Amino acid sequence: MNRSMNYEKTFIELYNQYSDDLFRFCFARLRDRDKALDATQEIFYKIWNESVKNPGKLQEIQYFRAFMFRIARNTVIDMTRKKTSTPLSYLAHQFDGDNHSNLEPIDIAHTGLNPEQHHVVSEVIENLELLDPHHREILTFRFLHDMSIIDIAEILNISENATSVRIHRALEHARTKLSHLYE
Amino acid sequence: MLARNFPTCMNKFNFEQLFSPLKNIHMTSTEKSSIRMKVAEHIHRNPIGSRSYLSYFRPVMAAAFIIVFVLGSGSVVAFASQASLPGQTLYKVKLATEQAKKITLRSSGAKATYELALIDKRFNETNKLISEQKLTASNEAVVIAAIKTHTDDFKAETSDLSTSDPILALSYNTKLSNTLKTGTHILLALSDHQSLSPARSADSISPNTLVLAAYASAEKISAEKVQLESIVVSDTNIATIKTAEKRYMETLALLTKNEVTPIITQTSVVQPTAAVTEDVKVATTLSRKADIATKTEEAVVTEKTNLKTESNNTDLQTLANDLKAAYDSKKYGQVIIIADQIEQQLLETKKIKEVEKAYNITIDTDTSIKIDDSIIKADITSGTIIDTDILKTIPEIENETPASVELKKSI
Repeated sequence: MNRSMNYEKTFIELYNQYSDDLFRFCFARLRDRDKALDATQEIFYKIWNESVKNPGKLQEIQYFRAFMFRIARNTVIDMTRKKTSTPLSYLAHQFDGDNHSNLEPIDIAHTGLNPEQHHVVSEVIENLELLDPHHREILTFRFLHDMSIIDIAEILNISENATSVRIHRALEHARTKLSHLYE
Repeated sequence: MLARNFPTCMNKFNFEQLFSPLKNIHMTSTEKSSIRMKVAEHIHRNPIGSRSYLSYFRPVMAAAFIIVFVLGSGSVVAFASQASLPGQTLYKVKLATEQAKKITLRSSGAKATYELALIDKRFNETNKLISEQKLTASNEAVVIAAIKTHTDDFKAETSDLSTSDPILALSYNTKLSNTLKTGTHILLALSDHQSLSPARSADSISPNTLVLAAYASAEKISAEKVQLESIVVSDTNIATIKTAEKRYMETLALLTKNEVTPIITQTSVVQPTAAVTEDVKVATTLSRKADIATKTEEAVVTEKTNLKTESNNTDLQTLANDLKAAYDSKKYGQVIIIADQIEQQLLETKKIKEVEKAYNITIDTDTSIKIDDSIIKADITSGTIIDTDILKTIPEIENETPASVELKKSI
């Protein structure tokens, strides 16, 4: 009982420590604050359910952060797939040919940021949208979440060498696509 | 703009700084504590060690269990219903199961064959009811309705064939009329046998209405057959000749198996099958006059005509002789018609033998019921199967005598 309570306490500490990081990841992918909040909650439910299924599992996980992000990545993918309708405004946007991205327009109404931060964030996200999704993803892990090569390799379930190569290619790709940012 | 925000990063492509504005994104303290509470609640609801691996999949398992239970119990009921008889609780399930099975059949041929099997099934059920003395008026009505449905469905499935493939249409027509006639003969024989039984329940009746309805349908179908026969007889195209030759060889093999060898005799006259059937089969004729327009019952006259004592084998021999004669005289349409007739006769004989064995009775197929032509003609004109409701108006008959005599007496 005592051990179980300790386990629960540790888990809440994990939540306090990583929830913002995971929320950020979800928000960058889903571009909707409410959905990102739901996804964050879902991620922690899933992690807990994993530990209920296999109580010893969490202690055995070597790269815990990578494990959480792998769950987060799958949750976000699931949520994107479940998306049943596309907002009309987005379709209109696409029709005009202004936006070639598959992502919804960023919801900056409730980002918890001040107006100046809103502006900058939306500009960064718009620029990131110029990148191919798989390049954007690996760069996000590397530079937004400051992940090590090992962590990224764990999340994507590939070798460290392959991760390094992918990061290198993503950087090359970004340099070409974001060349307009040069002064 | 971005260059202003990231004055140094762009030249070096400093991606840390490119992403740095996004690092400001975070949950508000309210949001964070709200989700924390929900997560804590989830943890308390699902403490470690309280749930087995399987219970984690509780909703999935529950859904699976429900599916298995519903489907499982459904199939158990459907299976149990297969032995049910008209008047029993599960009989409707049985009929529904049969309809469901029909949906799975794709071709018209398969559906028509299935309908024939169902007609046979209905007759077998009635036979069982008669032998158990459980045939009541309401049960009989259920069977009549079911046979009418099967016959209608059968005709619907084969209706297009009369123009596209008259040979096949004729084959189906022969099958249907023979199935109905054999079923009727068996019913009559069983009913006769049971009516002699001293221990007879008060509710049980003889299947007079069913016999008349089924036989009327069969007669009507036979009458329609004449038209198809004339088409087939006059058909002389290559495909027909090939079919005829194939059928001739097959039928010869079938006859040899049943120890019948066609002999050419001087007296053997090739005639259309309908005429042959009538000539051979009519023994005791129960003639019933009914006016469809006024729906009144007038008279059913029984007369004995042309009592023939030939056995089935003799009929078969006659048909075999006719077959050979038709083939020799290159009447290929005729060959197909007679081949169909022989095939059906063998099937019906087999069916009758099975029933004779099962119920320990002797069935006389020479007993024939003749429904007044006016009913058949009127029915053909109206394009529907005989109206069984009219036949239901026949008064209930006392059961001391065999069924054929009962009908005679009732009028």
